[in-house]
Amino acid sequence: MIEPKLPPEQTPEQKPRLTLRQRKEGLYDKIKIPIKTLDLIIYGIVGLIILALILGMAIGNG
Amino acid sequence: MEQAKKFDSRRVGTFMLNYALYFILGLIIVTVVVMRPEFASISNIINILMQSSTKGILALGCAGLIVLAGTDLSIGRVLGFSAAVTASLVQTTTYASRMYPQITEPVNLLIPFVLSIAIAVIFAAINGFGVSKLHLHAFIVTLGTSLIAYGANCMYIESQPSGSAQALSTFEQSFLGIVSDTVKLGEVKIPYLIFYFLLLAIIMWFIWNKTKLGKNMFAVGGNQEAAAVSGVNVAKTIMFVYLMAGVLYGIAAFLEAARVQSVGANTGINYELDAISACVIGGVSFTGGVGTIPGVVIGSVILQAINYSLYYLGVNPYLQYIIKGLIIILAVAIDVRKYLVKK
Repeated sequence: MIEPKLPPEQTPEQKPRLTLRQRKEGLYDKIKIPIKTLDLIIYGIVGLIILALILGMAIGNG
Repeated sequence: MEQAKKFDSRRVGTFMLNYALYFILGLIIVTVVVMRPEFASISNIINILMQSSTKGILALGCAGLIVLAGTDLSIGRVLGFSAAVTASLVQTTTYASRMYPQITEPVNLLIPFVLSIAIAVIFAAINGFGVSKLHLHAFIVTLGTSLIAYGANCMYIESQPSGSAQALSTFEQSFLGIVSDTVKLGEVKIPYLIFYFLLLAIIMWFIWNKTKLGKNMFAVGGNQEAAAVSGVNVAKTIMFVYLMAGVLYGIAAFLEAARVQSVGANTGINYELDAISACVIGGVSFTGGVGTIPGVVIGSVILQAINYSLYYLGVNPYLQYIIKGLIIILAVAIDVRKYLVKK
């Protein structure tokens, strides 16, 4: 049985420690762009896919 | 009234964005069915399922690593090496240029099967040890093992008595039958390979959702520190997930050798990209802690269906790469959006 590692007791003088949830820094947490900009990027990629598809069919294997 | 309209249009917009990937995939498939109706034939659908099966098995293993917020770049090369060892042991005993002329009786298929899994598990164990104990980045460790596996594979293939690096081929019929034999359902003949994929998917679903290992895997992937504080053995969990992936790569290598019927130094090249793409399309998040087995299965089939559709539509091969790349970027962008909105 592994003893869970508990954080040391906090005293009122100390600054409040970050909770585990707050401390978690995920891969996407570093992304600091507004959702609206991200929406535009997604629409842009969709547009590019459709454009590439049309272009690809037009060029064909030749 | 005005507000309700605005609210509705925003909801529709969000829905469109969240499912943009599926709209695009649907558009491609509908276009191909309209332009070439024979695309929707049973034999084509079975072909798509056959091709997505081995890559799907790889994706099932890789998905666990992505749930742990890791990745695996060694999949393709490890599969190539395992498949080469399998292929060398199942060549027909009447074939003059076989790898082992001293083998005069067909080998029990259990031997190459176990060896294939053992090789893949050894590489997976190295990856797992590097990530869980040495805290190395999965990208770097798996890149290293990928090169090691490739080197070992090239050396193995070149060690043929002929001294050439020709692909290993001409296999025993009993070995080929493992994949190509069919089950007749009405008028439709379904190859065994598709059933293996489904069976492994069911087993993985059970492990992910009904076992302690599965729960721990999601806990570690979601928040490693919180999982450790809750008493989860993080290193052990990571190691087990890597070993599980290794077993799946070994099985996939054995089946792939029988499916392609010829194994060379380039067998398995870029398979890791297909496996990772299938996971991303299937909704396994790179942030870790998110993903489902049905998603991975659907992702694998969809990816193969796209490959087939683009080919059927006669899309320029270079633009096919561009389209597939954009689809993967789109899948990640949607994943980021979902994450940021939830945050």
